[in-house]
Amino acid sequence: MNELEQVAIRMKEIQIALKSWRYEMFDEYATKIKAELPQELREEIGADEAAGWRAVLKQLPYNTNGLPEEWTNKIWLLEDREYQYWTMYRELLEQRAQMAELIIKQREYVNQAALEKIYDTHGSQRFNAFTSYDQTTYMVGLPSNCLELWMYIESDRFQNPVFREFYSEKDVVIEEKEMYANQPGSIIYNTFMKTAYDAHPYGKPILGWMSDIELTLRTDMEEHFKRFYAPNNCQLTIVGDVDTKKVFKLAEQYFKSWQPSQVADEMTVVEPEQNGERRVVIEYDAEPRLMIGYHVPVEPHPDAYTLSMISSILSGGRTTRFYKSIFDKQGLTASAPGAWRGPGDRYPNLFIINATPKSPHTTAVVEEAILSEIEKLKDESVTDRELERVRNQLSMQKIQRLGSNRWLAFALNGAYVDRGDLHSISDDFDRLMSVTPEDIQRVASKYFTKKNRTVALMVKPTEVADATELETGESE
Amino acid sequence: MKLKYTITLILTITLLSASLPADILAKKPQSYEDVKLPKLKWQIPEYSEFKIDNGIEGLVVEDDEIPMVYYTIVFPAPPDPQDKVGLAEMTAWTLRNGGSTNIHADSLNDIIEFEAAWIGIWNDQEQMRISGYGHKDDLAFLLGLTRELIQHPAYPEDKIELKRSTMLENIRRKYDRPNGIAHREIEKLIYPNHPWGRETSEATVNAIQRDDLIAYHNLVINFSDAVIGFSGNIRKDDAKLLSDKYFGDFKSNKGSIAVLPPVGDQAETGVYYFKKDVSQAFVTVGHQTIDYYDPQRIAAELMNYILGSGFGSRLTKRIRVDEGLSYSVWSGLWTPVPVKGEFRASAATRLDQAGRTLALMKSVIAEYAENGPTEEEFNEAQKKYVNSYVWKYEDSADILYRLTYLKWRGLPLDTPQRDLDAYQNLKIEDVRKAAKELLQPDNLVIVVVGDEEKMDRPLADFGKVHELKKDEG
Repeated sequence: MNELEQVAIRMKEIQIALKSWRYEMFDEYATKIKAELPQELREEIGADEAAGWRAVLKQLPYNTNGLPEEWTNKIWLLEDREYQYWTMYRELLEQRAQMAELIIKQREYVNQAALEKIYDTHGSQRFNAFTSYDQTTYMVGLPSNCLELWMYIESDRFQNPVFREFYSEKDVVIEEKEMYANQPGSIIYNTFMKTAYDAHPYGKPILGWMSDIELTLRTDMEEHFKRFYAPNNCQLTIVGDVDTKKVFKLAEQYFKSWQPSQVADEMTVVEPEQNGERRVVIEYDAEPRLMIGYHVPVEPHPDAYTLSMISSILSGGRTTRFYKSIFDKQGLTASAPGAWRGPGDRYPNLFIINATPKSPHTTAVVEEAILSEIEKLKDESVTDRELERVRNQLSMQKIQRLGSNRWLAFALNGAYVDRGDLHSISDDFDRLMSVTPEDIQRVASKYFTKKNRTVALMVKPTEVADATELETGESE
Repeated sequence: MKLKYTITLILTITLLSASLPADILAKKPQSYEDVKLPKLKWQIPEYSEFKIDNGIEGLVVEDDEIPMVYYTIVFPAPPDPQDKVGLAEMTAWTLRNGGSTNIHADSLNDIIEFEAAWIGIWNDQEQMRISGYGHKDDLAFLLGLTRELIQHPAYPEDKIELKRSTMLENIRRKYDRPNGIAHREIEKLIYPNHPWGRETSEATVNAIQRDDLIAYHNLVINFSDAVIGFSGNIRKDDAKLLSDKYFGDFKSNKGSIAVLPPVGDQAETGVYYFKKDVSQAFVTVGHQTIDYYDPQRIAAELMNYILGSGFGSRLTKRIRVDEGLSYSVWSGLWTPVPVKGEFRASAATRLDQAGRTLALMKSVIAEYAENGPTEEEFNEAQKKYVNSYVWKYEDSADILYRLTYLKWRGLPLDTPQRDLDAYQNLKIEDVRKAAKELLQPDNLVIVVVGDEEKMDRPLADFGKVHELKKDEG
């Protein structure tokens, strides 16, 4: 629907011309007007977005002279030479109303949730898709008689998609981002990641920045789709009660016409070596949290296996070091601190530790306790029993996971994306099992250095001073 | 048990390398409707039952796919006393993490985790469940430890204090997340003065003493009404033998376990507002509804599915797909066994469109209550329920969990089969009737977490506004 795209393009132009600060000020004013509409009018408008914006437009003055006194007095942006911006903003609101109307009109041409309904009526489970740092995955569980239906639908949607509801779905993505923006765990995570990474995209949020989302056009998405959603950049994984020969035959039949694209491994940015500890404090009205990270390599780098082993020695059960020492014996945290590697597995990542202090203990005290456990890894050899326990757990986990079709499918997709080699699943396991106590001491000393460290703290605005004065050592 | 659709092979297709002779290529059907699908063959897997002399009833779901065994024991338990909310949670945690008088907690954890096994103890306001999972060769070892824990629990003071301080920290953190606030507040309004509507506070957590834990333990660890279940790589005869060996000598006395009291009236309809400085409002609405035994249970389940579950539901279509107002919008309808149930609908949305979202949510519910589903919606939902039933039997531990639940509740073990029949026999009129009789759009309790000053409509537009505050202290 080109009309819709034209409105979106015009909205984008105006928004860029207004500059974000001017746009935000105008918008705040319009929202206030909207909230103060007479009650009868609000009832009448109800959930009609277009009617809402038109009602606001009626209340807004045509020129800047009519704006409230506090604006005309204080703000130089409303002087004559800025007059055009106000006119543009009014046009933007009109475009918003039009966009809302066009989205409604568009519904006449859309058979909503058709795909979901087809799968659903056939008894599907977990029909969904996700985007992680390394991959985009489309998944569904189906009763085994639906194999050919799956071939039909998936081959059709990736070869012949029509992106009909882009702009209403974009609003949904904005809501998704807002949702994370109000979760303390997600706030500290994003800030921690962007502090740790200078160059590599692992430092950027998966959903991008709000301004990126707002200004993205449907045509931008189509470009992306054409490049990356191609058979030469894709693996289909099927696990379950199916006949192999039949699967290959059907895949050939349904997917053969899918044309390859020019996509290549385009991510060439290498994160430069960190040249000193990075520390960031987030002021937020929630109880304290902290994250600590070190830059580390990923598999098949030999040290990566040792790092995996270290994370299992530190966290993940009642006999791990973080649990026993920091949570149980010292009682410093609300739960045992976690240790894992992320945010992706395809490029060099971070060894990450997170913790939530238990009052009255501060982030500083918890940080000190974590760092002392890290030092212990360098100074003392881990015991044979600790290592043996982790090996036992890893072996059992391997058996256990074989019981899950879904886990196998994810593992096989991950092996393709991260390593381009399905054998890596068993190779990695063997290498992990052969990590020695000497490896652990050597690897801990190599990567867990102050210079290579990033620390993020979340503290209440009233307690910032306490949290940032690390050296005082006062905890209680 | 070996289900037909469990893993029989693994394969992946890297498209570039797929190449087969062209002559085997058949032509693609014109429409997905022309794709001929074979009939799905499956049946509800078998299970067996046993009973041992002291009254324990047992269930077994055999599944030899991997060499692991899961077991679970259900003990009926009373709800927390009003002045000691948190007692059951503290008891369950300390029982698991406190060790026994013979085995120190650290040694216990060490021997369990060294074997890569797991023991967990969990509770709600009606039951305490002790479960374990491990290699089949470790089963006797795990049952032995379970016996040791329940027979000689230590309940050491240091672990009680550790749990207490952890619970207090969680109370301190309970206002950090807007959706958490909304969910807690609406439970209190729908189940006022009822164990399901209570939450822990500094006072109730501090009031719990070691003696309370021990008294609770002695009351709950009673095998007269206990149910034990095993799933995985185990034979039924072994399950009975082991149950008898490890738990057969426990005396059973028909103790009187307090049951959940009936639920009183919900709070008066209106808007309950919790002010929080966030950029997204969290809106949740609800009211009381029928319990498990109501003849409309199955119709109600399908009715709610059409209204608020899945991408094709009414609420998702109108609020997410059409208007782009929320990432996640849903409704749920619970029909619990012991007391009245609950209908709920929720959405998170930007503050400047919270009023619009709430108005839309209310109108979608009202319209649906009035007219019920369309033929198409009903047919699709019915097919979905019937055809996806196979997933209920994917995992033997899930099957066992469900069976032990039914047994403990005294419900027929063939309930899933009866429910499936009921779904198949449902008519659209039943669902329309359920929508009309069960949804109460004029009787909603509305909870809003956010900043009203930044919202597009005053909350008074939606009813009398009551302001909610943080607890004292």
